[in-house]
Amino acid sequence: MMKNIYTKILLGLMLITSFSCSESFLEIDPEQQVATEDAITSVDDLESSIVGVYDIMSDNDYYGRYFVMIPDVMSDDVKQNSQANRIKNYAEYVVTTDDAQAEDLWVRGYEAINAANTVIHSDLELTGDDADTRDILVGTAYALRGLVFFDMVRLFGQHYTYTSDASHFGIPLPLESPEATAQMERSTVAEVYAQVISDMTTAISLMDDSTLSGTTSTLSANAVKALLSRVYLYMEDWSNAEAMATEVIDSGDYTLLTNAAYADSFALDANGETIFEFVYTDSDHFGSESVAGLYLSNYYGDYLPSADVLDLIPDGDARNDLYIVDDGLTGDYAPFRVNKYPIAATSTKVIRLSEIYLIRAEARAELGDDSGAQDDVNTIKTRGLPSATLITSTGDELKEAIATERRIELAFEGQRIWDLTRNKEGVERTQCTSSVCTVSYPNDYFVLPIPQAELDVNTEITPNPGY
Amino acid sequence: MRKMLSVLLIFGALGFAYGQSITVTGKVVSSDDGLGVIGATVLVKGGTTGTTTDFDGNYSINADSKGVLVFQYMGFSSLEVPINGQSTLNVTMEPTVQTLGEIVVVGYGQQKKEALTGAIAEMDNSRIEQVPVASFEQTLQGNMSGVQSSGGDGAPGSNSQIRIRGIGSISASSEPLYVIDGAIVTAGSFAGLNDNGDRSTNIMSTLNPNDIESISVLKDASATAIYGARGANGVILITTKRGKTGKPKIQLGIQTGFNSVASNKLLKPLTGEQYKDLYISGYTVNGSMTYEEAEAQLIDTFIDMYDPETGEMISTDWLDAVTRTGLNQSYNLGVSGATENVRYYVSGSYFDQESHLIGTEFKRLSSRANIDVKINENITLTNNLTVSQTKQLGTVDGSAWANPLYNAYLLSPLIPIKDENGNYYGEHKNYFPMGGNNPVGSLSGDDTRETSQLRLLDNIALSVKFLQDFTFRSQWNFDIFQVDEYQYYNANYGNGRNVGGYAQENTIQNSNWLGTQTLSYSKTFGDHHFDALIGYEAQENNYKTVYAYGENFPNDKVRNLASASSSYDTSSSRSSYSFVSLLSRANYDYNNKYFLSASIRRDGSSRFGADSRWGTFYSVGAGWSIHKEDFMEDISFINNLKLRGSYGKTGNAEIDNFISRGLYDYSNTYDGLPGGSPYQLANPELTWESQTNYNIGLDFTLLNNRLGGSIEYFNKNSTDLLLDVPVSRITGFENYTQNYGEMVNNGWEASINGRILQTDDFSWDAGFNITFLKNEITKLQSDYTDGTKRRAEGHDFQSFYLYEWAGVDQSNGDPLWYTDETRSVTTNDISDAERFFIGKSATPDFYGGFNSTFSYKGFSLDGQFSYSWNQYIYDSNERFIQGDGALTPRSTTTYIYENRWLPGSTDAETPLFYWGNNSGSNTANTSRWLHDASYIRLRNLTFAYNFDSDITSKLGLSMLRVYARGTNLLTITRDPDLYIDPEQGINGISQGLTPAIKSITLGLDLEF
Repeated sequence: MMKNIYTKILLGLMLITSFSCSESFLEIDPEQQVATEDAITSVDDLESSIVGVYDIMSDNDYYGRYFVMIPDVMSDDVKQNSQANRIKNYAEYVVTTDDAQAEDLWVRGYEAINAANTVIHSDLELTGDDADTRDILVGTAYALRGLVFFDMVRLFGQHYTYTSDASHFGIPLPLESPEATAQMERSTVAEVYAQVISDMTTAISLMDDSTLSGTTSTLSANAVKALLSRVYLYMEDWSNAEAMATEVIDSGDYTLLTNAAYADSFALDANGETIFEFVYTDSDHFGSESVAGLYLSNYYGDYLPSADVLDLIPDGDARNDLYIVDDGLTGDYAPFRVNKYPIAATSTKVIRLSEIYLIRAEARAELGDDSGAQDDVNTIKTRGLPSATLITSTGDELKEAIATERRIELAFEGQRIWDLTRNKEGVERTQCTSSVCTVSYPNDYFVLPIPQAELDVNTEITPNPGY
Repeated sequence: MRKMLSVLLIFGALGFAYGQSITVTGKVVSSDDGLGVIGATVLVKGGTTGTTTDFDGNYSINADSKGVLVFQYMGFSSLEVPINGQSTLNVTMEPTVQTLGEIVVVGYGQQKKEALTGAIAEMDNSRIEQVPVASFEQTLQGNMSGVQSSGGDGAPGSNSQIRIRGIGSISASSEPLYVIDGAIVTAGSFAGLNDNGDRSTNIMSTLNPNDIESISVLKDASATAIYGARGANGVILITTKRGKTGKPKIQLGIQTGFNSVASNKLLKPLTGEQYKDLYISGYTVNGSMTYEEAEAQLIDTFIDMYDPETGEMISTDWLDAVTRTGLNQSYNLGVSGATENVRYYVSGSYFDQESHLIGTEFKRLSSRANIDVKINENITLTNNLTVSQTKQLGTVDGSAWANPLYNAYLLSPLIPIKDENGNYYGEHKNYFPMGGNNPVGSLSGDDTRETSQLRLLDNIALSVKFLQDFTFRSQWNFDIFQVDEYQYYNANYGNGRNVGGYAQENTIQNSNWLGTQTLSYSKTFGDHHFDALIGYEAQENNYKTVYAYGENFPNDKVRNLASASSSYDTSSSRSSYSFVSLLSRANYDYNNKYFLSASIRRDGSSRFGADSRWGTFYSVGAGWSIHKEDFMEDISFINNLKLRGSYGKTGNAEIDNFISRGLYDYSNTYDGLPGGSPYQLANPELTWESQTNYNIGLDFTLLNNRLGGSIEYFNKNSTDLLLDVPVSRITGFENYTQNYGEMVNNGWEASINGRILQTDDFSWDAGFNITFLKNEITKLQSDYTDGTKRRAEGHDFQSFYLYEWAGVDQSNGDPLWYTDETRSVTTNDISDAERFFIGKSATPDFYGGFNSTFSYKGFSLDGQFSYSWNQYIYDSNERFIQGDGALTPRSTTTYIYENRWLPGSTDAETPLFYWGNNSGSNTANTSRWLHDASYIRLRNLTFAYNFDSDITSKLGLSMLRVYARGTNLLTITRDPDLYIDPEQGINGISQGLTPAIKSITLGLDLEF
């Protein structure tokens, strides 16, 4: 009898303890993440969300590697090393809609846009200093969204002047976080550029000359102006390009590296000349999976500088020092390697002051201000080689000289293919180690394919022709 | 043999000298049904005389009047009966299957086999004990119908992939639930550094297979619905050994042997001469260089291609240098017994298996103590405790440069293994792309890749009987483990070359508790028998990881992070889940003839959306023992005939812990600033995958129980499949998890076992099983391509969707593909070809196994085969290894060297080989890399001798057995040239894995 009582007590206790807490027992929250709706509730949250956008953009699918590499690998500045493997299809113009890098760039771009949209639409009610900080951060979100739209339209759409009214296909423009089931069609290139200008202009109005990190690893209002001057340049809106460039130069926030310091300081973070860059810390870089990884022999070393561009650099010019001799290279591959990215953690320079001079030179030349253009291009030319003969030509010859200077100065910084196409030129590889040495303009393959994965689920989207 | 017989004759004659010879007659009947046993062996103990019973079970034998008769029959315990001068001896034999055959371990209890209404496959320990494999799952393949088991890779300690009646899920796991001694335990791969995508590590490898008494695999809803939301993929119930009544038994098993590669058709790397020839022709063949230019470039490049001492050109066989014959050893000691109130089984074991790759090894040290204490008539306390430690030295797989089985083909044979100082060579990091990996040096200790697992599994239960018919059982299970992973890559060559060497460590701690309270009731009212069970179960799992990285080491002697000088990277994470469940089951039978069963379980889990957290699962089943009907009385060749059927609904909850939530993640850092970004789209309605499942089975035993088997038909319809539905990337996400898809698996299973021959000394038993399986996706939001496959309605989940290779254009060596599925036009430009369903799948049409055992006196020969038909494997590394020169100047295989197109070729199998090949011939997702992997494999062949009791008793032993065993001795493939192991992952993708091991071992089992 006693035994039965014990048993019943035991049974009862166990049942009670087990049933009592079941609903709360099942409520377990993740520890590394928070619910989306709780994510942005303070100005600190806004700040970390902006850092999140920078981080997405710094990924090695994007500014950390392929966005820098692909436009050059497609061009006449880069030659393939014998063992070239990664993104070789871009060098040989045999990319398909299944291409992993095209998809990664597409994914990373829209991931960054979504993250920026989250900040833009956070609508935090704040007052005082917090409200000011909020405005700067929201402004940064507009700036970054504009930059990503600009990058994506250059990758996936033909250049602005491809059709006379830029009515050809650009990219979809999500301006707020879409529903999971959203489908979107492509806006025209004109619409995309209008959005880029609108975003960057809004950004400039909200931001000031401070940056989040205190260095050029994040954007200031002047840095956005620098980016905007490039946008206008691509649109051939010469007067706005000139005006923006002038504002940046006159701001005094940036100074050109001296001839003596150029080679040694070029790759450094915050070297004074760089206006905006993506930086990589010692504990946060991609090792071999970086731009350096594709250029240097101790990593993959898949790509080499072509004599086509190296031969343009005058003897004695400081810019020669950004290339090093590799004894391991033989034949057509010998002897140079790109050393603009000497370590895996080298920052990716998005825009530098020297480009602003060259933008202004180009804009002024187009506007007929030849002497202003000569001054600007000579500033860059004599910085490389103080004893260089000054450019005194005018008209088309001047424009040609500016283009050459631009090619030398910005080589291997991820712009060459667009400098060719926006000038309606094809690719002509004289020192050619690829199976493809000539790609004529216009060409469907100057833009990346809309990825198959997107075509599969988005019935609204139009594929790029030729793929 | 004849000599041994005469020795036995002499012993026999001596035996006869003691008494008077008489004729003994009698009848042998089975306790089961009281019918005569046909063909039972009757032997005179210690003599040579023997006979068998006739059709009615009668026998007649001459024996000494003071002698002893031995009665033996398969499936029954042998019986020794002293004659004591009687001339008539009628005996009743008891079926031995009682231990396993009659009582079956089922979810939350045991059941009489004849009362089962569900589909359960069983395997006893004879197929598990002393098999030289690291983990018991590897013994399942071919031994159970409906169960497909495959190693994650062939390396010892690797993960296993098990599919019970096919793949039931697309995005969630398709792995079964594992239950040890009644408690759900953690299974699978728990590692973050060394797991090779969950292929190479396995927490179940902590379990000593020799501690397993039996395995039951629950296949249909009637059997699995009691596991509710976790039953849909089937359940593997493992029962460990317990002490048995009788005197204490001490068992010692020792085994040692050798391991090599099971497949002898692996691709061969080039010799130095072949490489040189190919190198030069790779330039001259398309006129890009002259012979002299190419030769000069070769000599310029390979700066150490001549042996400094002999001056001869070197020819390194990297594959040969990284492979070896590994050693295998295993020691197992078990002590078991029972007294009136205490039953015990205590064991300790050591297992060490070196694979055929140098430097790789798996070791396990384990102990187990299973104790049952009867506190009084009604209360029993049980504690099963096992502690185990494993250590695994492995390698990376896939197309990682450090994968030795990848690198061995691509490294030039003109690169030496060691430099002039005797150090492993690494200079080629400066001239040969691929990071200067030296797989020989890396595996010889220059690098380390080690995984240790420490697991404690304690299962404590109190069982109280009360009011005669009730039993309350409270069981608490603690499953606690820690996994430590460590990697070191040296500074001189390979992965660590650019950073002065690096090390990383990852520690995973997982603790899981499970409390199960059940109340059961069992009652017989006349011919009606009724039993019922209700229970409550709660489980919580807590997981955490700590990771650290450092680089730039002062030298190779100190390899811990304390000595790293820069770039510390650390991280940690935590994650938990919980389940709460109510369960119940009722069984009823009338006169052991008609059976009914039903179960229901209600499950709640933290993993699911707040709006759909609870789900209910159920099953109903019925059975009919036809042979007990009156009309069957006259059909004497049928001993047992039972029809059973079941229907029910189960669930699959194996998804990420927080997949239903809309989340914002904070792992983004930029320029030292903390950052966050949107991480996952919310789906608060997300819930279990459901599966409705029906099963019809027929069990039979015929010809006086000499032949037994089952045939079953099953149909599993999985609905609300958790799909990572791809979404437009414009959303900022790639996919989002939804309950959407549907998939059907149906098929037939048959198994048959029997004794084919039986004479006095000789017996021949054989078994066969086969499973036909058909899988079809029946509902999908939109078809999508997933790597080599395309998930599409109306197609098998594992259907390959590829560009179809059309061979080589013999006029110019161009690669050719069919443009589309009409296969009427070929092209040499892959951009003019499209992918299509080529009609091949990774799912076999049928698979199974067969076995045969021959016994002659103390000798036995046992062979066990497994097979799989019409399954295809895509080799994802082949396009790099055999890429026709696309990657300059990587070496390749003799297959390419010998079969490539050259000017004048008419039967070339592979295209023109030239450096920088951009013909697209090495494009991924073409059927060029797809192989027929149909096979039959001799998984196990054991030749054993059991010493006679005369000898063992003189040695003071109760049993002595010696054996030689071969594992994977023979593999026959439908494609005679198949160069990869046919047993790869279930998904039919080969990723440069360690191929399966062939072992030859010698063993000794002793029992005191």
